[in-house]
Amino acid sequence: MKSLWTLAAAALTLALGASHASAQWGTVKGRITWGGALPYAPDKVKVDKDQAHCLAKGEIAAEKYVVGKSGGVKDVFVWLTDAGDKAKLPIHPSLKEPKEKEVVMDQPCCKFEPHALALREGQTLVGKNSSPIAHNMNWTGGNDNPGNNKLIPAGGEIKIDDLVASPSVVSVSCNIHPWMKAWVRVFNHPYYAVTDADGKFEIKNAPAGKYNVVIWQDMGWVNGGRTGQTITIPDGGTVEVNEKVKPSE
Amino acid sequence: MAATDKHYRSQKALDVVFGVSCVLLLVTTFWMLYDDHVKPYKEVQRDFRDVEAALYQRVLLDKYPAEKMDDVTAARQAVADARKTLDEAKAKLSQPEAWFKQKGLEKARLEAEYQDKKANFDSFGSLLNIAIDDRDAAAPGPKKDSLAKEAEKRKTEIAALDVELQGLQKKIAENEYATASVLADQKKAEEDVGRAEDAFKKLTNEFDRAAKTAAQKRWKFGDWFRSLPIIDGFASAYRIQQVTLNDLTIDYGGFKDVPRYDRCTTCHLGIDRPSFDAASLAKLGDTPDEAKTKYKDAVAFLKDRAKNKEALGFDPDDLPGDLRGAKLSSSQVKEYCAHPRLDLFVDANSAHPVEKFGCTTCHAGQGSATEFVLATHTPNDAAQARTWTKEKGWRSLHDWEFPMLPNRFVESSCLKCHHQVTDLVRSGSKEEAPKLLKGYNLVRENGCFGCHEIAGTKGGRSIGPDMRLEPSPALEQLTPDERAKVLSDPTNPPGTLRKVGPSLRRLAEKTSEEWTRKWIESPRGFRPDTRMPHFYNLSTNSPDVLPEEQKNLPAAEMHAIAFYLFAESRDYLKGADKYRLANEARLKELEDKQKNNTTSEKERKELIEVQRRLELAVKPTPLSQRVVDGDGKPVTLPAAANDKAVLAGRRLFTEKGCLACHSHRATEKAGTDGDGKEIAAVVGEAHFGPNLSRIAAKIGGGNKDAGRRWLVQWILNPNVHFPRTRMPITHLTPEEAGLVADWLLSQDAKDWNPDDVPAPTVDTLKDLARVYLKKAPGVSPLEVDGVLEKGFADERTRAPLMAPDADEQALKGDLTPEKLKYYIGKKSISRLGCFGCHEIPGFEFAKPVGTPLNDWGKKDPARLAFEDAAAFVKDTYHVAELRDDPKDPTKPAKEWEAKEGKRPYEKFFADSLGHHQRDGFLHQKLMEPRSYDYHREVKWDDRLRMPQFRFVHAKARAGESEEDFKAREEKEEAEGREAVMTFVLGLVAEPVAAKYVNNPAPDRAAEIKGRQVLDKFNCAGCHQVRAGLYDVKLTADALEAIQKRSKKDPADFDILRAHNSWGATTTQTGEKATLHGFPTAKQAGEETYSLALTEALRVDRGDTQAEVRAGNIVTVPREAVENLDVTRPYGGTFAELLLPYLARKNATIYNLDALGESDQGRAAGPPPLVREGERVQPDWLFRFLKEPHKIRPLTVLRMPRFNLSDEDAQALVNYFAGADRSSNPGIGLTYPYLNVPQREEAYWRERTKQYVDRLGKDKVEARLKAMRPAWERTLKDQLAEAERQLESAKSRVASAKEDAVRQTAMTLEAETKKTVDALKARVDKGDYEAYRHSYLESEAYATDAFRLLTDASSQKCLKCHRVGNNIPDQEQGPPLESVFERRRPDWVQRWVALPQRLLTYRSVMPQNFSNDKTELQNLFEGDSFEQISALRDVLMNYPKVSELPGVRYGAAPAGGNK
Repeated sequence: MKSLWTLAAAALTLALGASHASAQWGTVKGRITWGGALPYAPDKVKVDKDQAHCLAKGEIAAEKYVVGKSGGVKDVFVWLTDAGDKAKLPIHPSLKEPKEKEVVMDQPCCKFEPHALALREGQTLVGKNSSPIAHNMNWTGGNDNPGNNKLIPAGGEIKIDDLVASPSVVSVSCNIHPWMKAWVRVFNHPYYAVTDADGKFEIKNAPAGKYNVVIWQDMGWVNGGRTGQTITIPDGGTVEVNEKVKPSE
Repeated sequence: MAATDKHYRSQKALDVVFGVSCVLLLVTTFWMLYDDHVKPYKEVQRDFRDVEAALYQRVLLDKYPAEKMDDVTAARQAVADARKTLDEAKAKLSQPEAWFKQKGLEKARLEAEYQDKKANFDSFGSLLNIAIDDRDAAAPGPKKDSLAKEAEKRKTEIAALDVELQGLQKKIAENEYATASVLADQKKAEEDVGRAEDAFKKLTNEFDRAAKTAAQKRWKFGDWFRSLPIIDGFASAYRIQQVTLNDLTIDYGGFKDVPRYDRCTTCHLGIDRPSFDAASLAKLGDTPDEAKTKYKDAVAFLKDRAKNKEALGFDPDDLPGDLRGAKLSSSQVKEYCAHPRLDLFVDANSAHPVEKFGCTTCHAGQGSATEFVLATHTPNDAAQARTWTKEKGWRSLHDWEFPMLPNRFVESSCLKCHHQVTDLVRSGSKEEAPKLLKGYNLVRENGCFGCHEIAGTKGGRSIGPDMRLEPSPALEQLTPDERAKVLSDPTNPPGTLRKVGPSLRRLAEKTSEEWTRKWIESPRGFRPDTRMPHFYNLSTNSPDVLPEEQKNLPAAEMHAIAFYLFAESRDYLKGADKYRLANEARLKELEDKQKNNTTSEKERKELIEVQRRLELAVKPTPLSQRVVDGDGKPVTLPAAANDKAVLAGRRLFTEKGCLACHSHRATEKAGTDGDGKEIAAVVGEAHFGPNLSRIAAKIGGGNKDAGRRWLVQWILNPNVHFPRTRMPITHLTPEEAGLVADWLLSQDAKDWNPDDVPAPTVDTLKDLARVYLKKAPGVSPLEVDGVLEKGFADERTRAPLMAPDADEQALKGDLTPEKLKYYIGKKSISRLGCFGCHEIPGFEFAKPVGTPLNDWGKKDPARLAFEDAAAFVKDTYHVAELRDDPKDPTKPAKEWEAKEGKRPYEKFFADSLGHHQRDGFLHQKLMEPRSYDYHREVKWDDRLRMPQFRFVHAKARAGESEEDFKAREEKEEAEGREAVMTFVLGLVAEPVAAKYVNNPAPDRAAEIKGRQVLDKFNCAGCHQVRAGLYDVKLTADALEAIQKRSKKDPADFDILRAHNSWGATTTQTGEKATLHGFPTAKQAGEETYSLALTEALRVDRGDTQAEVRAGNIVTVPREAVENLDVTRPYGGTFAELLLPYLARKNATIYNLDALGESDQGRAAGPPPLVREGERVQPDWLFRFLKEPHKIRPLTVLRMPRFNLSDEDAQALVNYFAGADRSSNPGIGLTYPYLNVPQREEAYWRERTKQYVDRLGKDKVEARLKAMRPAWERTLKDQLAEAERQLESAKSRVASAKEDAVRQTAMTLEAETKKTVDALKARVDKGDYEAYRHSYLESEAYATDAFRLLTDASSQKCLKCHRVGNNIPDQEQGPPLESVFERRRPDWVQRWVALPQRLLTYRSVMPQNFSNDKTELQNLFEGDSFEQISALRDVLMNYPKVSELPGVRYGAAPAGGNK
């Protein structure tokens, strides 16, 4: 009897494995747009430190919503999860390994650049400070990524190589300039994107089938919450995901 | 009378008497023997044998490795095999001994032969040499030939001998080999046997041991025989167990100090055995078939082994043939089970071993009794009483004065030896007697000691907690002389507790008479959670129970009390209160006498005292004249805010810390500020200060301006109204205080609108006055009516007819209703004892009105007046069998609810009251204090006067039904009442031998004392003080979670391991680990639990080794912490309330992470005081506590100024240092004095020498060169200063008028001139040798290290901290120039190394130096650790270092400030 089960399990594994091996691939793309009134005028950050440097390139806008002229929302995370959230996503052979070993977050002009950064477990996050003043980098992502708080002198950099994939976002801040804030999400698969200035994103070579797409930006989940919404990725085709970010309050 | 042989008595009668007596004696003897034989304890002991046997059978079963039987069989087989091999090895020789002997002989013989032959061989060798020499020496010829032949012959002989020798050698070797190989085989076989046996033992060892115990515990024939009647008189198997305590005596009323004999262990035989837990005992009755079979297997296994001649150490036949059951009743389980917490009690290694403390010391009862009822067992609730009656024939013994304490009150005994009470809080804040501590705190908070004396000493000996009121005036108001006098009395040291209510001296400014009346009538009606008890509308004085003629008296009394308070208050504010007037009058009198030199010694003393009293009673300045700030400086009252601006008051109220002590319903809902921005809701649970929700209805009592003025003053400086208040000075500006006051007063309180207390008629007042007048000393009952018509005539009020301070003086002259009210008010206050909690003018010297509680716990119940209280209970309450649900004691039992409008009343207490027992009386006294007057005809003023308290203030929970809430509220109140009772019952005033009184070591004593002060001022309302302790079951998941955080950071400084945040002080090896830390604000998820560690954790369990350093968050599965011991952290509530509030206020700065934490948010709140002792210098902390100043720029609130006495402040300083020294021994903390070695000259020289050596010649030269400009400027400075002095000397010479003065001035001028010349010469020559010398000697190190601090390019420190004149544009950290007086040097070093380790939250300060990086060598040469050490050194010497030439004038080869 026991052996029968083992056999069945083996068969199932084989079948699943086979289905993954023969998985077909498609594309998820779309645009995240602003659900409020346009044009959107962001709040100005009150800069009370290092004004000479921080304001050298003009005023700093608050980044809770980064809305372009045409209404695209920048710096929105979009990623896939398995619809049942049980197994790992099948990964396209060309994406087995991340292309870059390191991803960089810089701090020019008292802003984190980029403001939203997604990376894959195993990649090293390089915290750079190309500015002439000192910054610190204080990152924390709840339970999985406890984080640390380190000073980066002008022109210096630190390397963070212990980030692990987590459902919790890693927040990055600078205590010297408390308005500076950035977000990092870490995945154990390559199917994630951050929207560009026009609010557009594209996830290529995604496995065909039913998956969930999850969208998050500074102010929280966009449509669908933490589980996201289910989409069907067509084999060899493209599925469009277009969502609106509704202003909170 | 003639002699006769006739017996005086009839012989026959005598024979009958003799016969009958013989029979009677015999019967009695047998009866005695029988009675002795059937003593109940014997049955208990006999049963216990069965229980023991059955229990050890279970232990045996538990240890029987049934599921590993394959392994066991294999191991056993391995043993057998090994033995067999050994036997075979041995068997190889039929007669091993003979064989070995023979081999030995053979060896000896061969060796002798060999030696013999060898000697021959050697001598033949020399003969051969001679022969060869001879041959060679001989001339050629025949002789030579023959000689040669001889030599050849010798050679042959030697060769033969050699062969023989070699043969012998071989033989010897063969012989040896034979023996050795036989021995080696045996040895190996023996080792194999040993190994196999070890492996087998590993599997069965525990089982064998359990089996052995089980076999021994069986009731055997010998036992049976020894317990036969009569025979058992000699060596009985039954025995009375007894503990004799000569030092812990009993006081049997008349018989004092009787040694204590505790025989409890005669029946409680399993009390000290850990395996006798209640659960196992309860299960003894079950003998499932499965277990039976298993048992049979186990016995068979043992027997089989015995049959195989395996050494077991016992005879398995002693084991019962089958698994026995022992069905135990619930009371038997209790009887036989082990004491809970053997680590703390009973066990010989515990803190309270039974040999030292006995049983009745804590449990009370009749220790020498060996029978259940006679030992005065007391059931814990009605259900237990019922069970006991059924199973044990239990009944209540009325005659025994100290029956055993029911389990619910057993903690009260702790008070006998733990007089400090807070010593029951362990270091690390675990509460060992939670109910007693709760009771103590309730007594303290509700001010029971205001009326009831709770003195800690009797005749100079400590007998219990000291909860006496502080002297008035308070210690710190006294002159040193007075203080010394008060403190020097060892039998009566001054009390330490302040009155719990506010002072009523300035009541007239605060509110109105009308409000006061309504308040007195029903304090809880106005403020449901107030501590003020109810005096009216109780069971004796509510109008529905009063007789017609008394119905109006309560209202009249309330009016009178309010009238008195306001009359006195107004006089006080005018500086014309009776106390002052009386003292002033007396002063004048005494001064007059002194002028006439007619004062007696007594009067002279009195004069001084009166003067002093008047000095202390400073004349008040009414608020209408001025309002002052925290420092006493007058301020202008800010203008009232408009509707919009007033909203800012709410923000201030929320974030400035008010909610740490107060609550307000308006903050519980979100609102907006004046700019329309959201103000987040904050639900505070604080009840240290009053709930302020309805404050608007109280303050000013209708007069808006006066109310506002009062409130602003109270917020700015509460000491104006009440110097002894525990409300601190908040450091708010007058404008801020105005906004808070305006907001508070704008909050709606219309939901409180009771009718005013009806005004009394003059007749009612007269009725009431008559009650008191009739009893007034010196007033004749006959004159009362007359007085009530016309008042006392003037001459009647003079001495000696009436004392000048008699209350009746108030009725002098024409009688008005006001005079009557004043008189009644004063009489009522004095009867009810309001001054126990409040300062009331006219009651400066009043004595407490309540029964002293010093020894209430042993009060003779016969002296308690139970009256008809039992009937009251029957008529008034619904008597419920149980209060707690037996399955889940945290929930109310099913029957615990109101029925037909009657509140629930636990049957346990109803019974106790019925049996006239102490606890029953006390319970009813607290529940309905005046019910003892029930059905009694009592005069108005003879009625009981204890008010009714409410101890617990439950809040309805979301989603809770009305009935559920009511039941829970009643239960919580009952628990609070029970806690107070636990405390009171523990007050027995029995001096215990000194060795038993808990006498903690100094550090611990500091902690205990400090904890009292922390509680007194609610420090924990804001600050986190102690981390929590969490026992975590080390499941696989938990271990994984711990392992996950165990990674070492190469940037961390391993060198700091001795500190308990870097290296754990203990290694956890068991099933569970204790984690020190704080739970994160939001838990990670429903399945997990997150803790931020404050101490490093090391786990070593063979399979898992992990060390997690402090500052890490460990997230463990929830089931790993369930049902385990948890000690919640002490303090920090307000800091936690602030986090979400601030996050709503400014999400960018204070945003919350996934665990609900925010570093900036934490930094904005009150700082954690965990590790405060190792952080701060003791003398600085002392000064700071007395006069707190602003330090950390990031906070949104400021530490307020409490009116701490020096003693309080000192106790707090010692608390932190003592706690940290004991919990973190690796850091070698010292207090109260602190040594800073970094401030010693030798230290600097040493450091500088090392540094100069490290730099090397070239770099030193470069630095010296760079120093030159600094020296030039320093020298110029010096010269300028000297010239300035010269000028001043010159002018002094010029202005001198007298010769002598001129002479001195001229000498000074000459000296100064010399200095100036010398300096000028140095300037001219460019002579900097002195500077150079001291630079190399003691400055080079500091000069460079200082650059680390102020370097502008790396901005390590300057970015956030102010350093001298270098001010960052937005300060984030405290100024560094004051570090030298605030911080301990070790702390500074550790903090700079890694702030993360030392905080309870993620630090805002980044890690500036990494262990694995070497940086900034241009500033200071050395590795990172040397750099942080150097930073510590300059910070600890800031004032000195900042004056060095290189620092002043910033001579730096590179970088450095300008």
